[in-house]
Parts: sequence; structure tokens; C-alpha cells
Amino acid sequence: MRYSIIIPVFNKADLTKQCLDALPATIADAGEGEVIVVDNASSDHTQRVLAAYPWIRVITNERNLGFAAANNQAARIARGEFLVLLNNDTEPWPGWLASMLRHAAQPDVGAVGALLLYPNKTVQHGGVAVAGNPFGRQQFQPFHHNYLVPFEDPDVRRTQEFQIVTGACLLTPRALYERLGGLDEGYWNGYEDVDYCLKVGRAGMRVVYDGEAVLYHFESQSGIQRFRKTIWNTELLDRRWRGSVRFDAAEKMLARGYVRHPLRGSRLGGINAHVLHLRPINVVVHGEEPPEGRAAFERRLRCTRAPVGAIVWALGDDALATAREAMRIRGARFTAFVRGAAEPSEGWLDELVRQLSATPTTFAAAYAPEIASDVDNVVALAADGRCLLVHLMRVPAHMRLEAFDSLDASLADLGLRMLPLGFGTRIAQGVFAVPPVREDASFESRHGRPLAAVLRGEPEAVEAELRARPRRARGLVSIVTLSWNAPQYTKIALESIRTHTSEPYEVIVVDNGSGPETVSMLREIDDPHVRVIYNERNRGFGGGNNDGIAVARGEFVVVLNNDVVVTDGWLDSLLDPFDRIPSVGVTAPRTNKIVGDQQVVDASYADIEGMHAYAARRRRSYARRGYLTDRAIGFCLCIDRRVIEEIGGFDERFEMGNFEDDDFSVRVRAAGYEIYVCEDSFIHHFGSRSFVANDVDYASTMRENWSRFAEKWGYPDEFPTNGYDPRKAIYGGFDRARHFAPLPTRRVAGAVLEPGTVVPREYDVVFAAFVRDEADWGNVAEFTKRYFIAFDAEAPVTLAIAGSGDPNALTIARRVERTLQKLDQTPERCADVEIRDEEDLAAWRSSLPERVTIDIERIVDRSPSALRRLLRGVSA
Amino acid sequence: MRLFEHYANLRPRYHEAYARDRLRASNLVAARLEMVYTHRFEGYLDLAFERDGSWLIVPLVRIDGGCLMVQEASPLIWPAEYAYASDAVDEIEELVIPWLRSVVIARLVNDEFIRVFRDEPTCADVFRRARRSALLGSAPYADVFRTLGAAVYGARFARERNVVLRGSDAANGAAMLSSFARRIAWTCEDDDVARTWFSGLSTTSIEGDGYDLYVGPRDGAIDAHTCVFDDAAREGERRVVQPEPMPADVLVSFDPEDGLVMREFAVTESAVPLRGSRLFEPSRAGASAGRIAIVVRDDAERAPDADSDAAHELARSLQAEGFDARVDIASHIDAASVDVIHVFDLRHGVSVIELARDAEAAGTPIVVTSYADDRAGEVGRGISGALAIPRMALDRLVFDETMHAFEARRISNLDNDPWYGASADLLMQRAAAVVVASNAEALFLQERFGYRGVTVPVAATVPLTRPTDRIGSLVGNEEFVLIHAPLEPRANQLAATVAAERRGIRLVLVGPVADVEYQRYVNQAAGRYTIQLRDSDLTPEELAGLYARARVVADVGWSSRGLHRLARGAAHGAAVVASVTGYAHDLWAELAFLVDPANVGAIGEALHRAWEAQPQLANAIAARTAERCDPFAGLVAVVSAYGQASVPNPT
Repeated sequence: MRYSIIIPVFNKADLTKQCLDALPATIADAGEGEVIVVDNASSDHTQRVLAAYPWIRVITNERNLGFAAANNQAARIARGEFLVLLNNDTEPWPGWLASMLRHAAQPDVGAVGALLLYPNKTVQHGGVAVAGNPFGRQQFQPFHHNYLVPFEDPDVRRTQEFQIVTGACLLTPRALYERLGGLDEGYWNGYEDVDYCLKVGRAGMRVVYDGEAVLYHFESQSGIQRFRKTIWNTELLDRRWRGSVRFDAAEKMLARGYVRHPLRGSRLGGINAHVLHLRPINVVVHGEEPPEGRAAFERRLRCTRAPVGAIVWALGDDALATAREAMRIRGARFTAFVRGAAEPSEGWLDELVRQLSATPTTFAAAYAPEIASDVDNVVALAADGRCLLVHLMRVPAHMRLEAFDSLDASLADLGLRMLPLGFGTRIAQGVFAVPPVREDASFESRHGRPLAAVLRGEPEAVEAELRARPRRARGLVSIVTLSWNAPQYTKIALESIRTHTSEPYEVIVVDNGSGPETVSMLREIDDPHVRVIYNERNRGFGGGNNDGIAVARGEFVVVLNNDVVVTDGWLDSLLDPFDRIPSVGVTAPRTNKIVGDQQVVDASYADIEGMHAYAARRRRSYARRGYLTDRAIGFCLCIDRRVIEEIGGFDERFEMGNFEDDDFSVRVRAAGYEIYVCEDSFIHHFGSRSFVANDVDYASTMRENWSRFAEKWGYPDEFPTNGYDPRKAIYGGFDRARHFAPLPTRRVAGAVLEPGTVVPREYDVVFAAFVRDEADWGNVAEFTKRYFIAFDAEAPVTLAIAGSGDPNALTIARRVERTLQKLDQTPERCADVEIRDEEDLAAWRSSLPERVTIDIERIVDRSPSALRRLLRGVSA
Repeated sequence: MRLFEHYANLRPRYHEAYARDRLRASNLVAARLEMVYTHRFEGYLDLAFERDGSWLIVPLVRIDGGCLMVQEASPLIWPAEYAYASDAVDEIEELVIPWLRSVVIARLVNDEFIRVFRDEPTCADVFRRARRSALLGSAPYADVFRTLGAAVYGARFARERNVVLRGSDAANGAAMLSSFARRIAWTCEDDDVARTWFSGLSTTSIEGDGYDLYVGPRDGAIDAHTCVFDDAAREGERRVVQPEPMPADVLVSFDPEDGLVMREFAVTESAVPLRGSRLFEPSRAGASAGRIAIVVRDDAERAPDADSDAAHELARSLQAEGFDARVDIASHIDAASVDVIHVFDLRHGVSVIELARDAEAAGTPIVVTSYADDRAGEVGRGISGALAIPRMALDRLVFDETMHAFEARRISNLDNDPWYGASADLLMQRAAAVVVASNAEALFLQERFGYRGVTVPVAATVPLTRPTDRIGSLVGNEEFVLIHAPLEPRANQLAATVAAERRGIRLVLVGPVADVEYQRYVNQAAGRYTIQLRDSDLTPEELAGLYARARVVADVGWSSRGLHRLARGAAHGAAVVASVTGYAHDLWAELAFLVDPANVGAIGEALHRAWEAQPQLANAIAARTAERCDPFAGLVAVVSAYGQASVPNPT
């Protein structure tokens, strides 16, 4: 007899009937066989159902013996050459058994599994792959390969070898089953099939998954015991097989192109499955020319299952730039670095991919024979670039390779910088022929140790490295706040900042064209921390804030709405994550009123005292807690200066308000920085006061700005009433050419605010202008326009403007910039301007070089040609 | 500082001043990280501190592994009793977290990791010896908890009592019972190192007698009111088994289904005072005839609940009257061979649909006891939330915050599927008569199912088993709140457990495990005041004894299966705490304490108030229950329902 099909059952009589009904037609081509059903003491009408099939043999147990014992029981009376373990919640497709028997006929095959589909024809089981478990009791995690993939997928239908196939449908030679002791009855309805397959492998036999043998699997559960014993089963499996199971998930990835992998946490600390796609890997060759010549070397590099993309030669002076570019190739997920003196052997890249996918706390994998061994769990403190594969998605986009004498050192330096972010470098198994470590003086000089020393990565060394990281000094914080009428709110906000901020700070109020009441209030501010920029018209949220950011001097810039009340410790809490989490670029607080999840739900205070008490409680309870997010609302953002340098300010295409903060968040994330919402920083927000005070059609503004956002980032134009997924834009990456949002130039303002930075220059003519009030400005503005038309940057002239308060120098600077914009000129190409705040105009005037200074009031013909003539005359 | 309240019963208790002096980074000698089996990245940390030769052991600090990798918050979640030490904890975290992160970066973290922070020879030697003796806080959990079974069981007898322990497990047992007992004396083989390791605990050497509880070997046992022997049970003693502890949430269990049984204990039995019941077995007229098939849920045998109790009790009463009545699941019943089909509960599988169709074809009337109580339409949501919240809330703050949002119905992404499926609709269409607990239930059936047929009010069918008072070995001598229901989100035991633990109210949970994941969360929350019993371990008389001993009976579930179990306790004068979702108010009116099942605070308050008020309410509750749940009147009403359903020859 060729086969014995064994079906253990416990209740679910209807499913058993369905399975038995389907059998005869689907096994007709499989030769002679028998079907044995083991009823594990079902309490439903299973016995009645079984009685209707005279061609089956039935074993009736008085108690539920479990899956393993029932199969073993049937195997003892089976007569077939092959045993087929089959669940009763399956429905076979035609030809399934004949196909499995064909594979089983090969002498070295010890087990054959089948493709099991859900009723919707997605994969329930397509072989079992094994991944390492980075943090948990169980060292390895078996999981269904191709789970939920449509069955039409070629990889699903491909017959291939695995270590494990499921026992829901498993064919094995009876003699082997007996020799291996059958299924281990120590397991209770779980993992006995995994254990059996591993025993088959240990016996030197192959486990084959047959993609042509197809069954539906309804995957019903037979009661709670199945899960109750899960832990026991897991423990037993782990005890038995720890250290002897190969983590083959990556191998399957190489064949398939992707693998499911746990990658990162969610807000609540859980770990989400992540699908890791393997795209062609670009290889950077550096260090030296390969002795065998480039073409031969390239051929060797391509002898690997992992797909090799472009091979980039980074030799000579521009090696660093070439390497940097290779790491920024759009769409690339990995970049490999290989020294020209290395000798890549077949499969060199596959092992690196395997190591990289082993844990979510690895950003690179390398060959380093100095510390490599046959132990599959070695991590380097950092590895040099002799043969290194970098997982680009784990390297924040802003972390570039830095300049050292060699790329080896640049890459090791990157590794050291990645450690505080929580990522190490795994060492590949086996000895790959790489040259010895080439020491690098620049590295040793900067890090105080030779390059070879950073290879050793015992936990103690990693710990020492983490502890050695210096805490970041906080420095000055610039708070930029917009004002657009509603002066009472600005006043409250400023007062609360004054009262509740203990860190060194400055406030830059940017008035976006408010009415006289607000301007008057701002003029009365007598606080050395506060500077005011007066804009003639509303430059919108982005433009106004950019005006402030451009003149901010702080190491951090807080963009803060004016309709807020800050609370004790607000800024300390916003700054704290920058110390703790190196990848954080922006932080934001919680509040009582905002769109999205920054709004708290339990803020039920009735007055300002109650609000402060609530905030204090919250600060205590939630100390140093928060969550990473892809989007923070612009009512309060604390931005690291390096982020601004990397991505610029707000994009001014968004008018008035809405979506400029979304855009900013996307750019922050795309540049590889994290956004962290601080649970312990609470700010009261009155909410949309400017919109209310200025009677703005909020909805219409929002729709218009969405259109701009959608166009910029490639979303559909239709307004997303249920929100949108920012990851689409983030994953596109940050492209400086397209995404950098320039701030208003600092050159004009810089001359005023940072005089030390201006290079002294000799002028043939200095035009002097006083701005005592707005009327004066009207006169100066007209002159300024003609001045810019008349002269360019090469002209030996400057326009010196002094403001005595209103408008002040900052405001004048902004206006001058806009004049330039209107003339379509850039600050770099225009003639020089110096703008100062001066209380004593006479003193200022006398400080100018008398011989060449001309007061503009004295110039009658101010046409550009007249001004040029004037210069020529003076110069002559 | 993140806090949690889990495993409060397993941790040694120190005086605050003593702990404050030692809980400092500079005093930290060693940290031990051990992974556990869960579906999350989760482990626990044991910390040992020493100062001037005296030690502080802080075991079971929870590690939120996700936060080790993604640094959203501290990865350490501390036992709630150390809430006062937030500054010290900050320093300790600063010391420990880089080590934990380095381990995570440099290794697959699947095992035990130990980091010695102070390597002075004396400290290191004590740590090493403690570990060799498998003392709590120094050794793998499986080793430690293997020694703790007897003490954990004995904890139910230990509160504010004099406790004595002997034998090899005594040190860990004494440390663990230090949070319960008034006075603890102990001795063990490795006395020297154990007394150093647990030097901060106020325990003494064994002197004199007068002990309430003895834990240890039978040989050389010290006389005490209750003894837990590390030995096989003899006649008159209760046998308790301990499965092999798993490094998981079920650390110490007495349920053989949790693993391979590796130890057993014997607990001396004692009687406890019981309250009398006002419900009595009616005299039987007999001589009735008729074939009644009483249909219960398919899983009723595995997860018995109030409905199956009532079904069996009704069958017994009917049989006593001469009916041929039997209880079975739908697929076992032949509709043509019975005169009436009486279906209990509306939540059945597809087999009841087939039965209803067969019944129609055979002309057999169907009577339904509906237990329909989802008037607010939120049972599905409630059950979903009851499981989802502990799943995502790793610490107390998030748990409380999420519970508040849940209570305010602000969590929206929960399963809100209709609680009643197709079988309920069909049953209500086919029902010739419906037995309801109250008029409110009848109204709900009208609104929800459009049912306008015969309704017969029967408040509850209460089992009348004679109780035994020999239950001291199960629950000790103290009174308690009793919740008798399958352990599952529907019954909401987690909320009750958290509420009772926070209020310091003794809670006894009885029932089968219907949801293993939920059991995990209840286990974690069950601290010093909660006892869990499997009803399959109890005789009917012992179960009846628990009802007769309970001071409060509670059902704070999202959906109950009737009032039977509440009425069973109330008949003895126990105060009643019930969900607003059910019909307790219709039976007991102002005598019952009603709560929103989503409100842990309200549940705690209600348990407390019911506990306090019970002596005053007992007579009134018992009298009201006897009046409304009279077994004979209930039987007559049910039989009349059969009559109205046109059962041929019902009497």
C-alpha cells in the first residue's frame, strides 16, 4: 500500500465531513492507500459523521490524547509506505497527494509539505522560515513564509526546500517516522510538526515544500488548550533546538525579494512586523585598484544570490564624495563597501544580508576575520570598510560619511556614531578574504584609538561607548512667535514665557502686519529678551516664522503660536529628548486643543491656576515620556538648529496657515530626523485666535493648502477628510535641491545683527538713510528700489540705513529683502546694504566716512542712471 | 518613572525608610535580566542593592523591550511600591539602561544576563551564594518559583497572621510572605546567606508557638492552624499541584493545565462559618410527563457559566417532577423525539440553526431563556476593550489613562460588532415562549428582535446544593467578594481584580479559563488580595460553600448570563455588585450596587460600599431573593411557558 492518510479530529464534525467528502476525487491518481481517522473524544456529532464513510478506518479515543499521540496511534496501525498527516480542517485540491508522493519518492527526502491556502486563496502555509528573535525568551521564531501572499505568486508555487513544513499536511516515509519516534508527545497541539521536521533534517534528510500540492486550510482551533500550552511548547522547542536551527529567513528573502521582519516600536512599545524589501545592492569599491583588474573584480562581486546593482568605483581624491552619493541613490536600501584588495568569494553578499536581517538593532554587517568566528552572534563596536554592507534605511539621512584619510575610517566613524542610536554592526560568519585593517592616522587622532580597536564589540565595550557619549550642551533657545492682531494673546504668551522659562532664551516676535493696537502693544514691550520684526503685510505662518528663524541666534528654535500659555518646565521637557535620543530633530508638547493626538483628553481645568496645576501633575507623572511620530502640529515645535541647516525653514508656498507644518514634518522625517512628542510638556492653547481675530475662512485656507501640499508630495488633490499617510512622502527621501526651503537671507539682516561676520570693505560712496518712522520709510523704500536697479554687488557702494525704533532694523531688513524679491534679485548679487538700530542718529551719521557719505535726502535725481552717474563722478 | 502593580504578591516588602536608604545607584550590586515568553519584547530585571552589609532585593522590574530599541520612554517599569523613589530611580536607570541597551545591540537577547556593578569581594560572594541557593532576585525565575509554590498557596492564609516556614524553600517563601504576614519566622539549610540576602525583611528565627500558618515539610512540622506541607495529601487534606513554572506570566500556578505537574502540596482543611440560605428545596408533586431537551452552548461543558448551572438545575427540578428532561448541546438533539426544546442563551453556533429548522419541521415548539442584556449595544466593544487595554497598557499610567478613555467611550477603534448573531435572530423568530429575567429584558427583546410573543418572567433558577463548610483550605477564614464566571473579557475579571487590589478587598475568582491571554492579564494583576480557583477543582458542595461564605457577590461583566449566580449568593445575604448592563436592578432595586463595567474606580467604590453595607443589607437582600427566586414558583412559571408553547400533555 502506497500511503496512509491520518486525520486526527476533535469536534468540528462539519469540517471533517467537508474534508472526507473532498478526499476520494483528489487522491484517485495517487495509487492505493487508506484513510485513518482518530477521533480524540469528540463531544459533537463527529461519530455520526464518521459512520457515513465506510472506506475509512476509525480509532475512537475515550479522551483527547492530543495531536501528536493521535498521529502516532494511527501510524502504529498504518499500512502505507508513506504517512500523510492531514488536518480535518482542510479541503484538498485535485492531484495534491500524487504530487507530494512524487517528491517523496526521492531517497533523500524525509518530509514533504504542501501549499495551504485560506479560502480567499492567500497563503496560510508556504513553508516555514526561521528568524532569530532579537529580544525574547525564544531564540528563534518559525514563521510561515509567503504568508497571505496570493497563491498565483511564482514563489508560492515553486517547490523548494525548507527546514520545516507544517503538520497540517505533511507526508513522510513510515519507516523514517518510526525511526525518529514519530511526533513528540511532549508537545501539546503545537510545534510537534516543527520538531519532527527538524529531526528529519538532523537525520540528514531533506524537507521539501511542494508548491503544486494545494489544499484549503480553514485553520480552525480545537479549543483553548491549543493556546494554553503554547508557552510550554515554545519552551520545549527552544530547549531542544536552540543553537542548532539555521536562521534561514534571509535566505528565503534572497530568493523571494523580501522578508517580514520586526523592525521598530510603535507608540505603545509594541513591535510591528515590517516587510523588508531587498532591492539591488549598489557596491562601492574603494581603497585600491584590484590586482586582477576592474572587470574581473566586478565579475567576482556579482557571484552572489543577493542582487548586485551598480558597482561604483570610489578611488582617488573624490572617493568620499562618490561614496556619499552612492549612499543617497534614490530607492536604494543597502550599499556595500568593498576594498579593491579584498577577494570576494561566491555568496559574499548573501551572508552579509543574512546578518543584517538578523536583528533590528543592526545597521551594518561586515567581514572582520580578526573577531569573526563560527559563532553566529558577534557584534563589532564598529567595522571598517573592507567589506561592509550598510542598511541605508537605518542610517538617518542626515548622517553622512565624514572626511578621514580613508573610507575605511569614514565607515568606522559612522558605526561609532550609530551606536548611540541603538544600532550595531554584526560580523559575518566564515572568513572572507579581506586585507588586514589599514590604520588611519586621522581616525586615531579624532577618536583617540586605532581603527583596529573599534572592531571589538563585546557588550562591555558597547556599554562603555554608550556611557562615554557626552551630554549635549543646551545653549540659547530662540522662541519665534507670530503676531497678527489679537494682541491680548501675544501679551499673555509673552508673560507666560517670562514666568515659566528658566533656560537661556530670546524671543523674536514677528508681527505679520497687525493693526495699530497690536503694533502699539508690541512697541511697549520692555524686555531685553524680546525683539520684534514688523512686517507690512501678513507673510503667513511660514513666511513670518522664517523671518524670525532667519535672525534667531539659538542652538534650538522654538516656533510658538502667540495664543498659548506655557507652563513650568515646558522648555526643559522639550529640550530633554535631544539629550536622550540622538536622532531627534524636533520635539513638540501636548496641549488641550489641537487637531490630532497631541491633544490630551483629560485636561478638565477650569481656570489658569487649574491649568498650571494640571501641567505640573502631568510633568511629574509623564516625566521623560513621549512618543515618536511622523507629524507634529506647528503651534509649538522645538527645532534643533542642525535640522534648519539641513532642511531650511517653512515652505512659504502655504499661505496663511495649515499644512506648512505637515510639510515641515515630512521634510524633517525624510531627512532622517525623528519627531518626538513630549508627554511631560504641556502648553495651553486657545486655538486659532489669529484666524478668529482676522475673520479668516479656515476651511477654505485648509483646502487650498492641501492642494499645494498634495501637488508637492504627490498625493491626490481631493481633500483627505480622514487624514493621509505621511510615510508616502517621507519614504521618498529628502532631496535638497527640491525640498530645501531657504530662509530669508541673513546677509542683509546679518549686517545688523552680527556685525562681526561682515567683511569690511572700502566704498567709493556710502548712501546714508535715516528711518525715524513709517513716513521716512516711504522715502527710503523708494530710494532703495532705485539703488538696487542702479548697482550690483560689484559696485563700490553701500546703502547704510539706520532705524530708530519703528520700524526697527529687523523690520527694515525684511522689507529690503522683499524689495529685492520684487526686483527678482538675490542678496548675493545685489549691491551692499547695512541696516542698524541706532538710537542716536547723529552719532551714527558721524561714524560714517565723511568724505564718501551722501545723505539720500540730498539727492534730488534718484533715477538709476543718475545714481550711477553720481558714483562715477565720485569715483573719478 | 513608570510604574506597574503586577505581581505584588511575589515581591518582598521592606519598610520604606530601609528601602529608601538602599535604593540608590551607588548601592546597586547586581542586575539580572531574564526574558519571558510573551508575544511582546518583554523581560524582567532583578536588582540587588547593598549598603553596610544589609541588602535590598527588588525583583521583577519589568522591561519594555520596545523602548530599549525605540527610546520613546524609559524601558524600565517599576513596582508601584517604589513610587516614592523617583529621584533614586532616575540615577539607577542612568546606570542600568546603557548596560541593557548594550546587551540589546550586541546580542540576541534570549537568555539571562547578569551585570555586576560592584565587584567588592563580599558583595560578589553574597550574590554568588544567593544564586547558588536560588534565592529570589539572584537566580532564574524557573528555579526560584519552583521553590515558591507552597508559600504562594499559603499566602491566602497569611494576611496579618503569624507565619512559620521551614525547609529548603523557606527563605524565598518568607521573603514572599513578608508582604502578607504580621510576623514571620523561618529557618532553612543555607540560613546564613539567605538571612544576609533578605536582611532587610523583618523576619525572625523560630521561637515558641502560636503560629497561624506553617509552610514546610511534614516531618518536624510546627503546630499551626493551617499547614501547607511539601508532601502528598493525606485523608482530610486538600491536594494542591504545582506545574513546572514557565518563565512567563504564569509564574506560580496550581492549574495542571499550565504545564507538567512537578510538585504537590497538602493543605490541612478547616471549617469556616457559613450564612444560611433563604431558598429551600420545594416539595415535589411529581407525576408530570413530557420530554424536554434543554439546549446549552456548545462550549458549556468546557466553560460552564450561570446559564449552564441554571439549565442543569432546571433539568433536575423537572426530573424531580417526573419530566424526562436532559441537558445537551444542539447538535446532539433530535428535534422530532422531544416535546419541547428549551434553548438557554441566544449566543449559539450554527448547529442551533439546524436544530431550529428541524424543530419547525417536526412541529416541536422552542422555548428560549434569552439572557439578552446588550441594551446599550456595547457588549462587543466592551469585550474588545477589556482585552485590548491590558494588551497595550504596559504601565499603570497608560492603563489608567486608557481605562478613563474607555470609560468615557472615547476609544473608537474597538470591535463594535453586533453581539447577537444570526442564530439569535432565528431563535427569537422561532421561539414560542421566552423566559426572561425581568420586564426590562422583555422590552429589550421587543426592541432588538421585534419579539412580541409569550414572555414568562423567572428571575433566576438557583442551584440548591447543600454547602459544605470545609473550604478553609481554599479561601482561608476571611470573608471575600466572589465572582464566579469563566475567565474571559466578557466577564471583566481584570477590572474587578484591579479595583479590589487597589481597595484592599479580598476577591475570589472562580471559573474555568475561557481566554488564556486574558488569564495572563488577570494573573499579573492578582496581587495580595486575589485568589483564583478552578471550578473543576471544586465539588458542588464546596462551590455552594463559597457562595454561603461570600460577603459580596459580584458580576461586573459586559454581559452576564442571567442573575443566577448573583441570586445564589444573595440568597445567603451576600451584598450584590452588578453591571448596569444586566437586570440586577429589577430584582434587587436599591439593594444592589450597580456599576459601569468600564469604570475601575466605580467598581472599587461599589465593592467597598457593598462590603461595608452587607451586614445591614443581608436580611433584606436574602428576603428579596427568596421572594423573587422561589424555586417552586420559577419551575411553575417555566412549565407554564411550555404549556403556552403548546407542548402536548405538559403536565
